[in-house]
Amino acid sequence: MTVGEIPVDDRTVRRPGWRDRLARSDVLHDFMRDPAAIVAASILLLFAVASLAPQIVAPYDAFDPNQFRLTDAFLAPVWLEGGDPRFLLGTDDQGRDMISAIIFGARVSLFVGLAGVLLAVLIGVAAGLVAGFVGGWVDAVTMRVADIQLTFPAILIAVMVDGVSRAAFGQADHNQVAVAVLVLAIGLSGWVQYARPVRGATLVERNREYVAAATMMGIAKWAIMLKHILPNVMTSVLVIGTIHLAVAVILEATLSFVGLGVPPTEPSLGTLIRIGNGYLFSGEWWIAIVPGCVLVILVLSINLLGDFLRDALNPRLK
Amino acid sequence: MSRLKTSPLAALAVAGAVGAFAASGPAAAKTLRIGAQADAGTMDPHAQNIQTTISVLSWMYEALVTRDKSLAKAPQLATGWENLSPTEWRFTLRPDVKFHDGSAFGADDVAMSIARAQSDTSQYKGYVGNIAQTRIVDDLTIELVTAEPDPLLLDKLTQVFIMDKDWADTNNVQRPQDLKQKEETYSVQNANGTGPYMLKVREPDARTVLTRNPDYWGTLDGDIDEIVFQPISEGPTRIAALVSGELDLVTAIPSQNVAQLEASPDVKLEVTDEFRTLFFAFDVGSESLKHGDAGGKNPFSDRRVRQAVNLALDSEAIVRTVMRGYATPTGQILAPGNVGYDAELDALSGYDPEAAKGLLAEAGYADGFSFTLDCPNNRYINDEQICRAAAAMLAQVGLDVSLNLMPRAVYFGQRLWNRDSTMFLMGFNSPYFDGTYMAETMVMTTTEGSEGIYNYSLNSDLELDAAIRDARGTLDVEGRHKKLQAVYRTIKGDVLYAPLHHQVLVYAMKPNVGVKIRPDNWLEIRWVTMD
Repeated sequence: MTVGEIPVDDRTVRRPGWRDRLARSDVLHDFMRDPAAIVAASILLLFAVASLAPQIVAPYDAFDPNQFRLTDAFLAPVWLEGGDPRFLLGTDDQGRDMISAIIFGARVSLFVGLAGVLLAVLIGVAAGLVAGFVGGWVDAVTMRVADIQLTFPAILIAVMVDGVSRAAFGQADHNQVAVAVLVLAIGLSGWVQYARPVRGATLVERNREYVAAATMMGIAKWAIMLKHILPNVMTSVLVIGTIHLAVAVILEATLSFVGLGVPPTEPSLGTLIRIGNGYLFSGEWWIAIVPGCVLVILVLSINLLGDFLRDALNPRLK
Repeated sequence: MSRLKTSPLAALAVAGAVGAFAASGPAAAKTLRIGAQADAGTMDPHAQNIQTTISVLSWMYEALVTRDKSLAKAPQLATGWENLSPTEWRFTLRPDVKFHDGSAFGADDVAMSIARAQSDTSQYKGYVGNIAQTRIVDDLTIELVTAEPDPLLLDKLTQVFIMDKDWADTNNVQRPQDLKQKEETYSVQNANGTGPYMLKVREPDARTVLTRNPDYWGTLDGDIDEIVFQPISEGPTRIAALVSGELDLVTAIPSQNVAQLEASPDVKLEVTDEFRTLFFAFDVGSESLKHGDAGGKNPFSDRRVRQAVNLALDSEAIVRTVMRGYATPTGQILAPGNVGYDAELDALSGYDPEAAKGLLAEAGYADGFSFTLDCPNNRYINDEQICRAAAAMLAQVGLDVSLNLMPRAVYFGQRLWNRDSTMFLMGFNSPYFDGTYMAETMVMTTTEGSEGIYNYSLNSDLELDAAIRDARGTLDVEGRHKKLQAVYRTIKGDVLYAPLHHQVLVYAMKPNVGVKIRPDNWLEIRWVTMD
């Protein structure tokens, strides 16, 4: 396919894009020699499969009230006294199978986390790119807004977003938009950490010869930003994004734990832990502890993979 | 007597002073630290008719009539009363009683307080709505004239606290705060009653500190110098605070924690059947669903749909698992111990999801409909769990339920009070152990007076209204009992509500604390002891 090779050759003339750098940095080679990364990636793969097809993986549908009975509530995990072989990890206070609730719950948590991170990346990268490339008052305003936002903890911003949406939609209708609000809260509270490094990298990149060349050729500014500069600043975004995903999952769990997240009738890891919290003293520890452990494993895996990516993609750390 | 304003600085100063005092030696003040599920909504004695609020206020404010340990009516600020005619009552007031600010208690304070409780912004109209006229005979004698003969006037007056007229005039609080508008007035943050404790620090939703009134006219069983009342909504947190020694008395113990606390040697439990019944109520009056979609209709105005809800709810399973047996399943809304209670009506509707589906289909909702179920999450024992269980059970017969959990302030203050709910959880007790109260305030058509002030269902049945009025005017208890039984039989026959259970009260305390629980969950501070 000689025709197809032309753009590849064309690209190698420019500074290598992140895809080429990825291939050249022997990421795969490093990955195969890093057992922690392999384990983390495998666990995440499991979560991904379970989240994509929970109806197949989970023994019951945790969203279908026809599949749980109050009479099955508070059954212990199967290895304990009072366990029931139908429910390996026991049941919660509504008689829901814990495994199913966790699988469906992790799905909600992961979806909210991913969508939130994506939103934060979109806002942050756009703001950083424009601020860095355009400069002047646009840069000043964007970065001061970012500075101000950095003085607030992410959880506070998320709570404010939630509060505003509750006032706007009313308590009842809020349930319908709860997931979207969570995504918005995570996105709005996390964009700054992308905007700053992207702006910094853009400031460096825009003075490079290839940008000058592109400008001289009369390519539009937006095209230079998107096609020439953006690929060169994406490495750091990928690393930050991975770490941020772990933070976002925790943020979702925290908000749901304090009752500001997904509606109480829908499981997420945070709501499961919140519900279980009411039974920690009464002996039904598994309702809180099991989803808690799952949350720890999920976040730890994301962090380990993020660490690995940071090391593997950064030539200076080699 | 100087009064401390509830500023953060003052609170800090007080906290410091208390700490210093406690550390100063064996003569340390006796402090009772109480943990409850929620805070008193206000310090205004006529703004919010909720048991927690009334309980806390009763430590500072007093009424003309109170109850003794056998729940019989007893004198408080009135020393005696007599009927001049069936509608005329003469009260002799207690002499030498002083308010916390030092001013004397007299008949004008009583007249003002009753008028205050009759204001538009009052939730206490149900207690004083029948009083047509107050006549001050002299400083310590007052006559009340009722519009109709009222056999329950004394019972109702146990709920109506007396405020100082001059204090109300000075601070411009002649009418209660408007809770609906979230109004803030002087009486919301300050209190001036005749009771055994005086308000020292008021931090809404954080803590309320009261000190002993040195000039209190009455007697107390204990000798507690100071009370710290703290709302802690999470049951496990509340219990942990008791076990770790941060609290001395905890009310509203979640049923699932009773067994664990029973086994603990450092904790004492008191258990009493409460005169309170939990049930679901429906908006039966609106043309279409306020929150939900049933093709423009209101399914809950159809008796068959309400019956289907009854059949879909497994109240026995709720009591067994959610309440761990600390409740009694029931088929009616009136608890034992009330005048008008009929044990026959306790018979359960039975759990039958298939029959429920059949009734829904018969009513034209074979595919169900969607609606919002409103519930408080810090008012009744395990209210959130009850509602989550109920939502699942209703979903199992094909209804599309969206559960809306709210803290009690939003739930009662806005959602219910504004008649803005489609289906909701209620827990009703009768403050004077008489079924008249619930029938009159909750079942009757809402009119200008006291009738139907809690009729959040928009229920209107003129025949039933007439029957309730007839029972209400029946002076002899036995006759009223019979008539009320008939009223509640009709209510059950019309399936106006979906009853769940009669609640059981569990308090936990340190072994040195002694509490006698009133079955209406009124925490009578005069009976609390501390060794």
